[in-house]
Amino acid sequence: MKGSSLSIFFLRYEKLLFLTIIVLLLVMTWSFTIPRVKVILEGQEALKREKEKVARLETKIADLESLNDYELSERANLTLKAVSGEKNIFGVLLILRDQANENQLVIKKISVNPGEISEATASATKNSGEIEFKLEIEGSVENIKEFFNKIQKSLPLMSASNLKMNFSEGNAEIDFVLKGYYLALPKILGKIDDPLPKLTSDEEKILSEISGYNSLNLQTFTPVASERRNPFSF
Amino acid sequence: MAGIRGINLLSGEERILKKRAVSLRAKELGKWLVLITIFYSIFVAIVFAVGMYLSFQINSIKGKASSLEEKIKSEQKKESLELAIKERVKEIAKILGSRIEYSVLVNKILSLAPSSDVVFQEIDFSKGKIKFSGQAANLIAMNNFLDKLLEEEKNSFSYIYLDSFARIKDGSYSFSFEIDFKK
Repeated sequence: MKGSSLSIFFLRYEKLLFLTIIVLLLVMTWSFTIPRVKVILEGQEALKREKEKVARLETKIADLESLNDYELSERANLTLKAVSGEKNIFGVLLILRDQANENQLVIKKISVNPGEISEATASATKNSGEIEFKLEIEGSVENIKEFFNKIQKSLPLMSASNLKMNFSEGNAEIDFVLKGYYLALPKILGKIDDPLPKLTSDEEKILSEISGYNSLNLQTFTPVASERRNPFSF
Repeated sequence: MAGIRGINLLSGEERILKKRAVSLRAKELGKWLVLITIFYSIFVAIVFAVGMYLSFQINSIKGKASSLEEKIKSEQKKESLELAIKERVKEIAKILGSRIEYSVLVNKILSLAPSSDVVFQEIDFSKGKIKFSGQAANLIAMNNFLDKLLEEEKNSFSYIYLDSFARIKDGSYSFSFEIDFKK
């Protein structure tokens, strides 16, 4: 009796019932299913990004682990000798004095205008630059040529320009500009998943070339823990 | 007013048949409703399960990423050194590439006058092109020097300009040239 009245109710409100269920499903789809599907799609994107990031991080770790602490520290010190972290006036002057003495040349005049040398403000305003030394030197032509050869193969790196030579009885007097360079140390490392900057083969060649240059040991990087230990230290 | 009351004119058998038909249709309708509800519920359950699985995966890969980041942070010294080396080597390459080999250039110019008949007084590299001046003991020496200069043009110079040439009191000749080396 009850079943038959339910059947009559179903049939009487057949269309309304269907409509109600469809509306209900639409509302559920709109308010729950679609947002959930959106979340899934965004999640898939996020998962892909995270997987790529993990791959980058793994490559970077492999690269970092392949670096040798001792070699790295040596190379860093070599490049710092080549281009100082700050305006290295005395490094250039010492090289000049040594090379002039070695080649029996007389330095008649040196003038330099280094500008701001206070470390904090100078490095904040400019990360890299040049210091110009104006020089007047006297000596034999052969010794002057040797002097230029030696200067070109010395650290810190210098470059001569505006050379003017006056000759008199086997001797020459030269005046020229010598540039010394500086480059501030990097202060930020970039994003953690940025790839490790590797040296190209040309850059490796440059490093091996300057490793044969004469150098002054004025500044070093903070030593890094090395795998090479003194076996005789207790 | 009395309500209109329906009078059932169907016989008892027909009434039973109609009732059965109504009940069958209602059952079919109910079946459809149940089916739709089941399918929709399965769909919602799948969506839910996929969402849960995805968020579990994201969390686990994020955990892996953060442990790798920690590992990289522990190697930060190496990274900072490598970065400093890379920057400096780039700067060094620029410096080496822009240097002028004065000893080579001076040698080349001086080799133009190997004998003492021609002497140089001045070589000036400060004004872009190279200017040099000197003195030749006689016209033959001057001519030889000029020949050598022009011969060398094929290999080394892109430009030769005779700026001045004069005979002076003692019979020697003064000259000044402007030249440029091939790039």
